Amino acid sequence: MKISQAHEDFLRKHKRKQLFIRFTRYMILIVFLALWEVAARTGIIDPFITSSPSGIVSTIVRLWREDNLLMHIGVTMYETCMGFILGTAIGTFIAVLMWWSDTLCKILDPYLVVLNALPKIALGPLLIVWIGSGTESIIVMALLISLVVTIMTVLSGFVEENSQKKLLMDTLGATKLQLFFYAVLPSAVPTIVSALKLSVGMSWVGVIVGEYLVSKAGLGYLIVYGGQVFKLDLVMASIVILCILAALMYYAVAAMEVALRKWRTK
Amino acid sequence: MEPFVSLNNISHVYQDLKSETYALCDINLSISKGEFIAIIGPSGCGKTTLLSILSGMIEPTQGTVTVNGRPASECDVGYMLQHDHLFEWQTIESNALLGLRVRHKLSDENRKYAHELLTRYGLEEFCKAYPTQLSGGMRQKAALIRTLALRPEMMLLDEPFSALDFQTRLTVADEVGKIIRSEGKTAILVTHDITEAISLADKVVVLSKRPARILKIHDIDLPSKNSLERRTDPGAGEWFDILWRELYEGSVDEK
Repeated sequence: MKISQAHEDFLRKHKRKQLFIRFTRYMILIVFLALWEVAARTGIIDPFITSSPSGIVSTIVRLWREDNLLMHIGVTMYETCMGFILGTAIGTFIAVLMWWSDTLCKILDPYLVVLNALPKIALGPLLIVWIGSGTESIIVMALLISLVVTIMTVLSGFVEENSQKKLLMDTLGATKLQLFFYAVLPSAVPTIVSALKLSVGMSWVGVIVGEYLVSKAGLGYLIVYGGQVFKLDLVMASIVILCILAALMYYAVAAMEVALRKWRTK
Repeated sequence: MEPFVSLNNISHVYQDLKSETYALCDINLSISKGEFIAIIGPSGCGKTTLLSILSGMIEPTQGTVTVNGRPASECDVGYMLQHDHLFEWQTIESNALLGLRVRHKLSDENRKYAHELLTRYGLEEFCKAYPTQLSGGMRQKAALIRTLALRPEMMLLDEPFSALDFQTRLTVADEVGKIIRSEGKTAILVTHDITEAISLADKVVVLSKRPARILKIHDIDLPSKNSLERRTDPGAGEWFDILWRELYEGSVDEK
């Protein structure tokens, strides 16, 4: 196919802009790290308080060699994944029940409102007493934080636009189960995906807060420990690892989105 | 001859917290097999309620409906809505098969029939396309095939063209009219477009304002069966005047 001069120019301009965006993105990070490192070495800032990129890297290497970094990552990942999966599964299940029964939805509504407004962290001490100071409390904390958001978002996805699709399905003589699986669930896929993305973030919050409160291992534990003994290299290193893990998990959910969208064309 | 569809003394009342709404009052109507009926009336008069009763989706407060000798709820009725409601995540082909899937009738034979319909009415090349890739008129045709694939005994059309732009509306109304006639279906069209009613239907039923009664039933005796020709027929203009006046009187007299 032949491309006109104007279109070629347009494409080139577009490509240049994309390149500029990507370049600037990396440059911000590189310049920031470089300034930080230089400032720390020349004594403009005190690396004891602010740490430094090279300090963070060497801490990570030391953690890897001496302190079983993989175990800490594993513990935190395990807690987050469990909290996320349970929160999403239970939340979606409750949302389905509430969609199914309008009466149940109305009965539960005020409880949801209160639970949503309540800072779940306030339940921390209770969880420790009831469940114990182990991984289980942390998972429950992550679950609680992601649960209510999941219920509310998924339910709104089910209800939205539902009456129109219901009319169509009624004219075809569909049962409620068919209405759900043919129309409501697939049309709610985009909302469910955004609920998943929200809930991943919430699970991280729950896990780190949980690890602050209890725990003998995990990245949250390292952060609290590092803060208490004033090893800010350790705190910074843990935060950097946390950033990377959270980003990876977000991309995993994004990959799930593709799979879900494929499923609904079936 | 026994009528194909008969409505006997139908009345319907809606209940809500503040009041009761009388939607339909003593409707009697007989429709023969293969007839195309249009129902017109002031907006909000209960036209859609009448269709819902005909489809068996709601039970009338009073009266009975029989289609082909059986109660309406036991009959295969095809329903076409104002919007196509095609599932945007499915291809046109699987949208067309939705009704069959819902009613557990997805046999090879029915699947083939749906394909024939898609081919016959010019949607074959769009089988694998998604609804967003089609024009409004095409989408409405796909919605029609979704109901026709069920081989309904009767077609109910609830203002199916009113969401389309004017030009598309004329051609799609014409096409849908032809399709329904060529498939030999009995059809009941609800509309507030008088010209549309005249151009498509054999009979026009005029309803009063709520609670709706039948004011008049007219046999539209235009020579052509082609809706576009009927629109320009001088006789259509006369019918328009008559129907318009009746509608107008029907909507003001009891105020």
